[in-house]
Amino acid sequence: MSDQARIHEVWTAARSRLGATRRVELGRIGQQQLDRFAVAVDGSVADDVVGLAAPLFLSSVLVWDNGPLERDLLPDGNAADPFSGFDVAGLRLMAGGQELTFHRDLEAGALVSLDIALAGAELKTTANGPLLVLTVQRTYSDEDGPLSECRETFLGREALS
Amino acid sequence: MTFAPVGTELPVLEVRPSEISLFRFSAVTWNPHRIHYDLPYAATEGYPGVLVHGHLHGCWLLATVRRWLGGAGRVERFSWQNRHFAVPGDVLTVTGRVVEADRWTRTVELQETNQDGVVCAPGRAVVRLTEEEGRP
Repeated sequence: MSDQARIHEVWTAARSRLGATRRVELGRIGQQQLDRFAVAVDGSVADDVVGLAAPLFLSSVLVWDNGPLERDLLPDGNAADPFSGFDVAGLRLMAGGQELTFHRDLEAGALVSLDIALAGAELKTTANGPLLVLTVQRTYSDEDGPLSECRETFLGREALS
Repeated sequence: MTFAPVGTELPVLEVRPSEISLFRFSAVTWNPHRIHYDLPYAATEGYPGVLVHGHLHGCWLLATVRRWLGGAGRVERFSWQNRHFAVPGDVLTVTGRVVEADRWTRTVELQETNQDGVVCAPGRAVVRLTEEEGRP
């Protein structure tokens, strides 16, 4: 199967999942998770920005459960089924960016749930070959309602042989 | 309208990505993508180093806004795009400018560029001022 056939296959599978929402319970967010995130963000910055990126913590975490066993990861280290419903093996996926609305601040101790849906799957033709653009819609909520909404784009190209 | 009229420049944030902070960011976000920590792997995709996470670009843009804003308000909306890769050794500069203002909100355009002037990540934030700051 050619790479181009593979990207079409993933596109077709993705379209079949459009709009299907699932809920994931993320558990209680611990102070240490937020503190470690703050330290990682600050590490490359000359000035002190500890804690200033905290609103992006939830949407930066890629995997909330343990994730696949190491032997089940793709050669690039990613999970084969990061969107729960279709396999992206054979593609290289990169984060394209996010659009967020922050309703309330995340506080340590919050019991957070995530509603996630695949909101878009487009196959584009570019000078560098076909490009799959996947859009994921997420809403993070705690016991008191929505905390933030995130619309994230992922860009997929065929894997290098 | 006294707080940050249109044209106000945000204090610049300088970022020098380090392998250690990329590793820590991978760990804390449970991101196993080898392109962020495995230099030989990153080279197979043609990159000169391990890549700064797209989400980390977003974090530095948002930190720039919130450091400037202080207690004058809160960020309501924020977006960014990953346009060009960055690697350890790069010197990234995050700038921002107020482009729209009304009584209660300011819209800020953001940009992260590398040492060659290449835009790595443009962004935009809408902040809502506190009642005190929005008072005429």
